[in-house]
This record gives sequence, C-alpha cells and structure tokens, in this order.
Amino acid sequence: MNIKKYGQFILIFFIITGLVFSDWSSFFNFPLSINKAEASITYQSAGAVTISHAHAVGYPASVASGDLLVLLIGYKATALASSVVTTPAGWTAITSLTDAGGYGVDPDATPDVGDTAIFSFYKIADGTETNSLLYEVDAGASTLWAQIYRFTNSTADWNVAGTTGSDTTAGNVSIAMSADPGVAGGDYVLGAMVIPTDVTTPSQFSAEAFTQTGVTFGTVTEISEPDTSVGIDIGGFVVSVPISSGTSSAAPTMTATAGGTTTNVRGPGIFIRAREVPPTFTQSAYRFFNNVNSTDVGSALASQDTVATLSSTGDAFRLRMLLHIGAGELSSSGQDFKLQFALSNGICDTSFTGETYVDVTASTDIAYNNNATPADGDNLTSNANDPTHGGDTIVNQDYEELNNFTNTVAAIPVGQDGKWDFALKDNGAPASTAYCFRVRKSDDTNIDTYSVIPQITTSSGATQSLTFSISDNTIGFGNFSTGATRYATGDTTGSASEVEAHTIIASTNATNGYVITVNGTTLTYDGNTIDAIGGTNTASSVGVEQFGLRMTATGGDGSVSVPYAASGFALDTANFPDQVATDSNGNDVSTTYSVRYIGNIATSTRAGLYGSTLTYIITATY
Amino acid sequence: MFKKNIFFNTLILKIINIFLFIFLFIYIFSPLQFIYALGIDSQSDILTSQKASTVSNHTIVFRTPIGAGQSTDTIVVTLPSGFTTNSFDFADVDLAHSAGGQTDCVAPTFTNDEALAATPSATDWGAALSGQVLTLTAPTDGVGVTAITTNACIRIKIGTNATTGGTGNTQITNNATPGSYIIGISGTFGGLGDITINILSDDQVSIIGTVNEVISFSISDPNIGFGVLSSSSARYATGDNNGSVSDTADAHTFSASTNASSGYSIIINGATLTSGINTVTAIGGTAVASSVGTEQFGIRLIVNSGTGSATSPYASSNWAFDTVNFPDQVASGSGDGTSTVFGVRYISNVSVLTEAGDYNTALSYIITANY
Repeated sequence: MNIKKYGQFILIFFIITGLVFSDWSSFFNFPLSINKAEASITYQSAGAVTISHAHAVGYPASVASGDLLVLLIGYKATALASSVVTTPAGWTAITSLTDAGGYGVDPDATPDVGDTAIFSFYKIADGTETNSLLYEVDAGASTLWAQIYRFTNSTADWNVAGTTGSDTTAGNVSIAMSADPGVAGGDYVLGAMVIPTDVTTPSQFSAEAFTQTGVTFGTVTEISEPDTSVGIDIGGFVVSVPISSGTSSAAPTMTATAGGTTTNVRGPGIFIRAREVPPTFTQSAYRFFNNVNSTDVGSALASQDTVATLSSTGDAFRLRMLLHIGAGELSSSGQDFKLQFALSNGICDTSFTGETYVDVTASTDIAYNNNATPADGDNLTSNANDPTHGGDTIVNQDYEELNNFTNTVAAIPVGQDGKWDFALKDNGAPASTAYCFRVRKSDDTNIDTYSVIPQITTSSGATQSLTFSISDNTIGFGNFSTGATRYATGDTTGSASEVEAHTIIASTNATNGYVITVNGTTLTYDGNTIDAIGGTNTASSVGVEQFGLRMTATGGDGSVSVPYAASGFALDTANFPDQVATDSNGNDVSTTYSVRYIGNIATSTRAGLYGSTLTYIITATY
Repeated sequence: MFKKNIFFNTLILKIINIFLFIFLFIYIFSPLQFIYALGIDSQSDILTSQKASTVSNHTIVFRTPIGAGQSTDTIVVTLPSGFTTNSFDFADVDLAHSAGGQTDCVAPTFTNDEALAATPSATDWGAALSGQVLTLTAPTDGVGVTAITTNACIRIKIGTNATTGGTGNTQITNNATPGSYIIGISGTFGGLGDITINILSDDQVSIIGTVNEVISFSISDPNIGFGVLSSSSARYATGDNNGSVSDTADAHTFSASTNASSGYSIIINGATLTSGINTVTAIGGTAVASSVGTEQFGIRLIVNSGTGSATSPYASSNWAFDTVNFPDQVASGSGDGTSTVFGVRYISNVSVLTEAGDYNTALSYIITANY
C-alpha cells in the first residue's frame, strides 16, 4: 500500500517537474493563435484634382497614420514620348501605362487627341501628410491631372496591386486589363481612365462598372472626372468600388457609358486593388561583424549567413539581420520586434529544436552593448559587407542597443527587406559556447518564417596567446679551420670560443604549452656538405666535420630538448623536423633560448662558402 | 467476472503508469536536452612555415568532445582573413581520426583515413572551401571508413602534406603581416574551439661559413741524373745523378693535395734530353717498354701513397714523353685534402748513332687546383 502511494507520489512529481522544465506551451501549441477579424476597407475621400504644371497635388483631408493613400497621375505628352513620373519620396509605384489610346502619335501637341498615360503610386500614411505632395514629371508631359485618394482600415495593414489596359476605340468605355492583380472579397478597387479631351467632361461618364471572373463587385461610385483645358486638354474619370465576395481567376474589365462627344474617349485605364492584409516577416539573412563605436560596423567576422566565433572573452560584436516583408507592406514603425538568443543545441536550426530563447537584455549572457557614440534607435550606416537577400531591395533601418525595435526609418514594401543592426557582446557567457538568435514580435509571438538562424560562438576562454621571436636571422662562422673549432656569431664573422649566435623567445598560455622544432639541412656548398653531428650530443672534435647546435634556456618554464640540452652539440637531421625545446605548462611566461652553433671541418672538407637555412617552428597545443 | 474486470482495469492502469513514468523520465532527463556545442581540446596546428607571405602546410589536430557519426555532421575550419587559400580543394585535404577516444592528442595514432571528395557520398566526406571556410561534411551514411567516436583525435591536413588519395599540390599562403592569428574549429559535429598560430617576418636562421682554399705541392729533388748513357742497356735517373741500370727506385717524388671541389691536376713541360743541337728522342705519347739501343727519353709515375692518380700515358709500367702535347698532364687528384706522393721515374736509351755529349733537360711540374 505504501509502495503504491510512493509510486503515485513519484508519478505526480515527474508530471509536475516535466511540465515545469519542459517547453509545454510549445508542446501543446499554446496559446492558440487568434484569427484576424474580417477585413474592412473604407474609401474616405480624395484630395483636390491638380491640373496644372505646378506638380503639386493636395492631400485629402484628415489623413491619419495607417491610412492608405493612392496617387493617380494622368498626362498627355506634348514634347517627349513615353514621359515618366518619378516616384515621390516615401511612395511606392504600383503600375503605369504610357502611349495608350491607339492614336499611334506620341508626343502629340494637338488638343483633344493623342495618346495619354497614367501612373499610380501608394503610401501608407504616417499621419504627417498635410497640404500638398510635390512630384516630378518629365517636362514633355505638359498637360496632366493628379489626385490623391484615401482609404482606411482598422489595422493599417495594406497590400496594393494594380493592372492596366487601354481603350483604343471611340464611344463607350471598355477596357480589358492586362492581368489579374488578385481580387477577393473585402478588397477595395480604384478604377480610372485618362482621355485626351475635355470636350464633355466633367459630366461625360456614367454607369461605370467592372466585371471579373469569380468576383462580385459592390456599388461603383464615381469619385471624379478630372479634366482641364489648360494646354492641349485632358480628361478622364476615377471610380471606387468595394469587392463584395469571391476570388478572381481572370483579368478584370472596366466599362463605362460615355456621353456627349465620344470621338476621343480613348486612352489608358487602371485597376488598383487595395487589401487589408498584415505583412509577413521572414528572418532572411544575417552577418556578424566586429564592433565599432559607430552606427557603421567593423570588419566582418564571417561570411553572410555563416556562423562566427568571437576571438576573445567579452568581445563586443554586431549582428546585422534582414527581415523580408511579404503579403502586406510594413508601414513605418508598423511592428515592434525584439531580439532573442538561446544556447545552441549543437546547431541553430529554424525549428529551434532543443533551444530555449530568451530576450536579449543589457545583462543577459549575450547582451546588448552600449556603444559610447551611437544611441539606440539611430539610423544605421550601411556597409559594403552588409547581408543581402537575393536581389531584394534593402531598406536600412535602425541601430539597436536595446529591445524593442521597429522600422522607424521607413516603410518596407512587399518583397523588400528591412535591415537592422544589433550591438551585442559576450557578457560572461561560457567559453566555446554557441548561441542562436531570432527576431520575435514584441508580443512574444514568432514571426512567420525563419530561413536563417544566426549563430555565434564565444571565445574558447582566455584569449589564446602565442609569442615567438628569433633575434637574428643571419649568423655566420667566418672561416672554418681544420685546427680549431668555430662558433657562429650574429655578426657572421664567427668566434673561436663558444658564444650565443641568436636567441629564441617563446611563450604561450595554451593548456598543453608549446614545442619548438627545427628543420632544414646541414651546411652545404655546391653539393658538398659539412656533416651534421646527428642525434647524439657530442663534444667538439677539431679536424672532424661537425655542424650542430645546442641551446640553453632562461626564464619561464621552457626547457631545451634532448639532444640539444647538454654541453655538446647535435643536429639530428635524420629526424627533422626535430624538437629542440618545449614548455608544457602554458603559463604565458617567456623563456629565452640561447642558441649556439658549432662548426668543425676536416682537411678533406671542400673549400667554399657553406650555408644552411634552419626553420624554427613553434606549435602550441591548446 | 467482476474480479476479473477489476484485475484487468488495474493492469491497464499499471501499464499506463509505467509508460507515463518512462515517458516523463526520458522527457525530463533525456540527454538530448543537454547536448550543446562543446569545446574541443588538445588542439594544435603545425605549420611548415611561419614566415609571412610564405606558403605553408597545416596539420590541425584536436580532440572532439562528441564525435561525428551523422550525415548532417560537419567540421568547419575557418581560416583567418589574410591567409590566401589559393583555392585549395579536397585533393589538398586529408581527414584522419584515431580509433576510439583518447585522453589527449599528444601522440595519437590516426588509424582511420577518410576518403574525401568535393561533395559527400555514401563513402566520402565532402570537403568544400568557401572563402576562408573549409567545410568537411560527413558521408551520407554518416560513417565513411568509420564513425568518429567521442573524444577521438581528429587530424586535418591541408597542403602538400595531404597524401590520402593523392598528394596535394596547393598550400595556404600566410598572412603578410606578422602577428597572432586564430583558426576556428566549429560545425554541427558539436565541437568548437580556436587555434592561435603565430606568423613571423622570418622564421628562419641563415648560417654561413667559409672553408678556405688549400693547395700543397712539393718536389723532393730538383736535380737528378742518368750517369753515362749506354747503347747496350737502359739507364734510369737517380737522385744522386749517377743513374742506375735497374728501374727500382724513384728519381724523385712530388706530393700534392688540395680541398678544391674539383681537385687538382699536375702537368709537365720542357724538352727532351738535349746536348747542343743533338737530342735523345722523346718516347712520345704512347707508353712503350724500354728498347735498348734505340734513343728513348721518357718518364712514368707511380702513386706511392694517397688518393691521386697518374695520368695516361704515364701511368703504366711503360714509358712516355709526349712533348708534342706539352704541357701534358701527368697526374691528378680529388679535392679530398689527402696528400698524394707520386714517385717519378725517368728512362733513357741511346743508340750507337747518338752523338756524344752531356745531355740535359729542365722539366717543370705545375699543379692547378679547380675550385
């Protein structure tokens, strides 16, 4: 009975422990995601029609942050064919059509006839849009009209697409658009046409209508019939219509009844679809950099989308990361994000397997770094080594020293990437430890897709150190003698008594210290050699060929290796590269090795200038 | 029936409890939750040159904390910037590992040499270089020759020291700036670490020394003689000038030695025996035996000691005196510094027609060393 009770207690203990220490929320996919409410777009108003060359068009009244603004410009070229309208700053081009109407003459300075053009742009308002917008049109487009239209929804999430077509015959209007921009219930459509005459406008058009396979259109409302007689005349109409239901499967057609003189009711038409849809976010690319006290970054630590390793404990570093925007445009400051990090479970995978992410703060193991000069939220300075995402346009955003962050610099259109710069540091993280990074929405929900997961590894501990130097790279014996031993000297003249030719200084903090090896050949001249002493420490023997070295060690814990440590000399070329010295404790204290070289020759030693190049290599084992 | 149902239900509950227990135990304490990238140890990189801007082989050795036995395992070697890879490829890389775990990598035996290819296959590790990053990717079976075990020592050779499946032909060029540089080891195999290496402006010591040129040459007796020449017997010169009827002793010797690389040569110059306008005919360039009653003047050389040698036609037991080719080489020796003693013998025969008189000649011997 007691056993049964203990068993139940243990079972409950493990259940509770399991729930506490496991990622139970993700296991049960909790909290459940909440579906967004049905989209609802309202056409609000239009600004005044501009008809002159002022190239300034008034904003509609009451523009608020998150509103969708659409700018239409119709023009007739009089001096320059295929004139263009430059996309106004902060606006995004939707679609355009030039040289339309089927007249085949462009430019045409004749009033009431000729090809015309239409351009369209959109912007998600930031609430500062008042008075008028300046825009730039080629000088050849002398007669034009322009107007801005305002739409609202409850989320400020927008996706805009458009298509164009052309009516090339007189009479009533029928414009088959060239493509299906994708239309569905809840969308709103803005339709427009430009004609080269104002003979009957602004009361020429009626019964504007749309047809599109799969779509049920709501009531079409005419917004305006912009026209002017200034210059060589221009006209047209603009309508709006909500989409009641359905999903498009073909390009739309726009029709209208034209009254009065319809001879020149010909020209381009445009079909712009606005949809309430939130942007999607993909963590699309990254690169690690060295930190600098600037909104710019230092040299790259690794290639793009490649793991990097910090060189020293406590290193500051920079992470530049891209978020790709899909579905709907991200309006300026349209979403708050935060950066999180996690201890890597071997590999930083996009499923976060085995990783527990937490917010990066100023005090976490991987922490935000406060650089002296730049401030959190400053605009980043682009760098030639910044990450890229295919051919996507990159919209530079902010330099970040703290969570949260957003796109304060500019909106990011669909299909483009925002770039942020995170100032980070190893804030006491364990050595040789890999960490992963991800961006999350500030409400603690994941973004839509993680294509890449940045990974950085902390330094292996104390900064590895290894020093090695040779005091003199050229030494000499002078003239050898069969009657006396010669010792090499730094001035190359040699000595009859043993002296130090050069020193080697070495140190490391490697766990297993270092070894120094020598490699090369004995003294050689024109195929003749002076015998290397070999692997046994041997005393000088006058009149016998000998070439060898010996070393003494001072300072530190380094020691000379056998056979070079005794009072005799050796040069074990048979075992080259041969160890000459070692320090096994890696205490980072320098040891100075005094290196002495001996040379003896025999009477049989051929005359000549003998030389040898010995290479000393230090290898630390960490 | 009732008891049976109770028993059955209790059994099911117990089985469920056991499964729950096992599940929770594994879930909580599964080692999968504790596998992180761990530091490698015993890591080193042996270079063949630490000299700036100089090509070098690399032998990278380290002990892996986890091993590598999955097809997804990679071992990544990140070379420091400024080191020119010269686009080395898999043929310039060797991957080997020890059999079983090691306590360190001081002197391991790398018994397993893995085959490498540009991309991994069922048997080959992939070895791909991108920028400064060499990525070794495990075979598709994750094993290759054999899986890399926990705590195994791994050796990666890059350069002409890579010999498995062929010898590499491309080395890495050291950074042009002396200093310390870090080679990174990482990858999904779970090992992480750095190796600091040191680049010097010059890691070599050039040593020079001169062996002076030595040459020695001496003639034991500058005056020798035949005595009275005879048409009925050969005469041989002697140091006492009296001559001899037998060829048993050297008229004189000369000693020669040098340490010149190409040794030495000794030549003779002068004329045959002459008395006024009369001469005793020189034997010529072909060694011939003594011919009594026929005019002959000639010499031959004997090597009494040393490593030198007499030169034809003076080297045999016959005689010659090739005045046509004077100065004519009579001996040579190597530059071994060994002194060679040449014994020089002279012969003269006269005929009944040979004019009476005092015949003499002065012969010059010259030694030349070839350094």
